[in-house]
Amino acid sequence: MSEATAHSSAQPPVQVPNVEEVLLDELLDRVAAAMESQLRFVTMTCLDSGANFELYYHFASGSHLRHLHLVLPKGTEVPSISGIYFAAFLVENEIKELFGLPITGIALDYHGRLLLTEGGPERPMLKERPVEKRDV
Amino acid sequence: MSDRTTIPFGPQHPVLPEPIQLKLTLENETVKEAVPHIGYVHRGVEKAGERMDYTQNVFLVERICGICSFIHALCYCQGIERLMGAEVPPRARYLRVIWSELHRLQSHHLWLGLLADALGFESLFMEFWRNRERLMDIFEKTAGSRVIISTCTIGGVRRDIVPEDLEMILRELDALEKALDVAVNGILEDRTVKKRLVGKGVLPAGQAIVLGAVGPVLRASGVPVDARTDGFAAYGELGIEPIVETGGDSYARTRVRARECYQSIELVRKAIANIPEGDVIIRPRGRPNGRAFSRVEQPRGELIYFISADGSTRLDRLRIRTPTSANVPALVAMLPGCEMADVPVITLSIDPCISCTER
Amino acid sequence: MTMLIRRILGNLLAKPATRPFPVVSREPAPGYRGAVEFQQENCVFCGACALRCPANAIEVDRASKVLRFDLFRCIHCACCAEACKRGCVQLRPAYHPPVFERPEFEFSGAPVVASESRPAD
Repeated sequence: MSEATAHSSAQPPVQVPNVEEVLLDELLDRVAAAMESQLRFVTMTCLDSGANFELYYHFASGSHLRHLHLVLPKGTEVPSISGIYFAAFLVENEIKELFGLPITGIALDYHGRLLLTEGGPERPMLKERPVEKRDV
Repeated sequence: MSDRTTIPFGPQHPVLPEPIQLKLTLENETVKEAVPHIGYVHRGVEKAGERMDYTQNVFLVERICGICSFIHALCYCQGIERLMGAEVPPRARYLRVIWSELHRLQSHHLWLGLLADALGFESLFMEFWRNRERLMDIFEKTAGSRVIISTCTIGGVRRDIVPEDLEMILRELDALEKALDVAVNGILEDRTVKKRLVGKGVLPAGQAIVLGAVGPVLRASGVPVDARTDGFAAYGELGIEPIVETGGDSYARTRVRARECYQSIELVRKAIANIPEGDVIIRPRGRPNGRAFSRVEQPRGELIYFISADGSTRLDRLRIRTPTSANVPALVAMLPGCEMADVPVITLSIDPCISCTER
Repeated sequence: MTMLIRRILGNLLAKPATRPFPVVSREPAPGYRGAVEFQQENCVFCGACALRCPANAIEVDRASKVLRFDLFRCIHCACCAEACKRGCVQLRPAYHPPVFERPEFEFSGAPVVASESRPAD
């Protein structure tokens, strides 16, 4: 990461438009409001930024996109939105499995066995898991 | 409930070459509940995307799906170009449309053939796949490879199509259109085929939006959403009207895809007629820095890339949402209430690509 | 349906759509990214091809001037051919014949032009 900042160009980082910051306790209300206004649930993105997890909830209506951005310290539990948007169950299971982010109350919980199998890697998407160039 | 049976459908099934398992709870012959199980082909592509150089990732993302490889690369490249502030030359944008639409055509041909095969209509399956061979030959001649064509790159395309080859594409498409008339007529107007498709796996428009369905599944329910209307590549100049059907059943989804074949042929013709002269690639300066959300329309629906970069040669995060993973919840909602015998056809009607879904 | 019946009858009389393979073989189109070939004479072991290869199929040891190529890892993207300033790597429009064992490809030696040239980027 330190090497990265040294290399970075003079331009400021590009940002995704239409991102709204959201707090953990207002998350479900905001998602329910999105449901009320007939937004289509697109997907979720989880990022591991050191001490925090960052969650993006992506919604669309037609060609218009909206994103909710939630930052939370590692170890914090997040309520599932699959009670509101059933479609979120796959991606929530995936994030729970690949990042170890505790998401509670998923409509259809696979308990860490959606993509990974027994004896496989645990939480492979975390930054602390090594990424080697030649490991095939 | 003593008269309920649970039947595992897949991951190995004669009519469905995709590794998905549906645990079906049946009451007599009627499906009451379906629970999808995936995880047979997870490859960790998102993690691998953090391992390689961001220019090399183009070849990685192309390998997520063999059927729409070019469009995966297009989505990735557009995201990186947004992060680098790169402006792609006009000719490259038109070439991107040509290859994308040819990919959509061959993907729909493949699917229509597989559908005919699932219905037991083998001669029609052969017909579609023979026609598809013309498209594969076009790829070989213009791009240098038949399946993973590797022509899209950051800043443009790696190859130009010479005027003679553009002529060749037009000739091939004329022949293809004639052959398509016969085959599409065979699948859309046939009484037996209609019996297997009409009214099977109905998804009403409201439910389709709530369940996050995308692509032909959403459009067959009467919702005009097509990411190509965003106007990426040269779609803005060429103009595109989403193809919509209102039935919401398997037949409507088949009709959407069949009509999209004609739409793609028209788009390629229009693109070839209007293609500007000039360079096909620029080398963007600097390194990607920031976060970008990229969205394109794949044959199966909307494809999403979320890219986070920190100004180094490796990406911080590469998130890929493929259309099938958005359509699986819709499939789970379509199945209850249908007959066991219709499960293969309904599952096929969302055009599942499980390797895409798991990445 | 009548259209299709006509087609099926036509197919009965027509030649098969496929080729009788071992008798008639199909030549790949010009520009097909097929067999990878290295020209040892011009190689200066700069390592540009190895750097750009997304599949890590090429390994170049600049100090001892050895180039190793692993065909089984190669994805035929032609990045090496684009990277090589001296045109030492080419992809010919030909298929690789099937093999039973991982083919070993390696060459080394003093280059014709002795000066070390670094990759552009």
